[in-house]
Amino acid sequence: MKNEFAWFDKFAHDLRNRLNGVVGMSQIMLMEDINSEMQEHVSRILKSGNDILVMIDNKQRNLSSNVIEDETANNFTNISTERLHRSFSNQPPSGKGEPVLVIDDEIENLEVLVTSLVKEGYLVETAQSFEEAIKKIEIKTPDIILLDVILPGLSGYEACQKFKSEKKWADIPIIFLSGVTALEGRLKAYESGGTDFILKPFYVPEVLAVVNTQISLIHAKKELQKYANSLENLVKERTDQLIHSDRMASLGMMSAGLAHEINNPLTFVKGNVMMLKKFEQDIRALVESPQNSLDPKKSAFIVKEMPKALDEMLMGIDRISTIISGLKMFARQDTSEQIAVTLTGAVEDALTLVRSELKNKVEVINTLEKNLPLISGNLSQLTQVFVNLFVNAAHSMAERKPSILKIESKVISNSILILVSDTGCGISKENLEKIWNPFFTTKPKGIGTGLGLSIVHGIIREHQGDISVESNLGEGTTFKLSFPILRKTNEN
Amino acid sequence: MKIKILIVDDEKNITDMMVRYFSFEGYDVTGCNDPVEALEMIKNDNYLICILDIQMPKLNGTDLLKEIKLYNGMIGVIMMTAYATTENVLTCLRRGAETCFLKPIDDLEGIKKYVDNVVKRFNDWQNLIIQLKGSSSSTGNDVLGGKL
Repeated sequence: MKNEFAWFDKFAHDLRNRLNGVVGMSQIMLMEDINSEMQEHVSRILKSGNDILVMIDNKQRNLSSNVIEDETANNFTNISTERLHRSFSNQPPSGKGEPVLVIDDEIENLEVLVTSLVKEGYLVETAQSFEEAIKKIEIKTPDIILLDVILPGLSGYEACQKFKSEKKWADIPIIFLSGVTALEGRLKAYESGGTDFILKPFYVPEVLAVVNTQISLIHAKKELQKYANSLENLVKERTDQLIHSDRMASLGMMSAGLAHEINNPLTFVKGNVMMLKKFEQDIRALVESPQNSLDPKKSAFIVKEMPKALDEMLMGIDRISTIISGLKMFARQDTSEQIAVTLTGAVEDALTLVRSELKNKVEVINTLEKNLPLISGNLSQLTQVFVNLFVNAAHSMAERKPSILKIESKVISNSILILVSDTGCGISKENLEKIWNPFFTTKPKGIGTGLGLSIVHGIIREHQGDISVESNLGEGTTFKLSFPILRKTNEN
Repeated sequence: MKIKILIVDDEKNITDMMVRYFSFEGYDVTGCNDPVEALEMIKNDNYLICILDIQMPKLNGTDLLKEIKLYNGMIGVIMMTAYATTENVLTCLRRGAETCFLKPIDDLEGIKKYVDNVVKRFNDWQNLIIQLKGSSSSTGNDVLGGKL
């Protein structure tokens, strides 16, 4: 269809842009702290600008048979000036320097948008073409893009599609700036990946509302991601813990069977070695007898080495036995009953049992009172706990001065705390969490089984208690044990 | 007459080891790895002392102990076990075991002492019968019943 009024379309387009600027700038003035007289005047300017826009629209409809590309989408005609300047109430700016990119080739639009967005607290970059926009995005990725539907060379819809097809930019929300009110335009916008619309001439509070909403959405997504990550970490930790305690439980079950399996061969190996020791005297006599046909050097060697070999075998067997006993304790075959006991008794029994380890080497300061509050417990298991702690303390203080083992108690609400501290070599930070693991030990090979503290941990758990450790390398270690005090209830 | 000992454990290495030890110490000792067979052996021979493992398939030691005592209360039975629960040990003692040794056996000499105790008891008992009955019946077979 021939359009003889194409010149008017072009003229109308240019006029509209300038007038959008007038309407926009008036609004920005209304956002300032001006007196009501000024507000009245500025609102009038705004309305006049708006009226001219409407006039242009009407003329264009009369003259041109084409669909108007950018008519006056926001019409301020029916809004009173009073209501208009009331709507620019002073709200604190929401922006915190988030980067925003505005892509529009019309300077007047850029001016209004940049001024209002900067006032709102955002960091604004502008581009007047798709190519310029790409350059700006490469330098700094914006949180949000405002995109005009008409750009030099390609339409805003095409530009939007290009952004969305680029993986690193696909998640940036794109807000269309459009003068097109027809549904066709909006459909195209959403189809090409746009998130929202801002109509022209800009109603500034609306621009800010749209941008603020999208930005807070981005913040919310970031928070959610953070929570999701920490939740995942928590789940992983818990799963690891569960697997660990499951393994511990299986280890416990296996240990019982293992102990029994090993006990039998241990029995006959030891018995047979003891038999050999019984033969030793007679063999020695044989070997040493002058009538034998053995090479004298060989005889001497046999006589010298045989007892040593046998003794070393017995030592090895005894070590295995100790480990098996430890393993059996760890598996806790005997479910022993708990009665009302005081920890003083357990500590004193333990001290008696380890007297030989401590004698002349360690100074013991035991400040436990005779009548500590009662707890529900198994005395022999509790004694075991203190025996293990005292032996560890003694070992850590070997060759050290001072060598002090201190045992104290504290009653806090309904728990009783026992502190066992030593002035030993201490435990390093990396080892601090591992000490409870079965078979973990820093003692030289052959000393202990590595099960002591895992047994202690298990017993304390069975007593509904808690145990923690503090240590400084080179200074000493303190174990803190807490047990719930036994309360006589009316049900007894 | 040599004192006969029977060792019963399902593990052959253990019975072999103990047979070796007690033979060396001068006892007439046999090992058996099947508790049901062991009971038959006891009923068809004269074992004065039995050393039994508790955990055995088919017939466990504590039940075998009961059967032996039912057959002849004079037979001394010594138990061995890896599971030293109070319950186990008490049951054995109640059923008349001499004692219960824990595996791994630390102390063969200790077991030997218990064996010697039983032998001494048997000899003392024999002497008592001789005294009671006078010098005519030297074995006291009828009084004691069973085979000696």
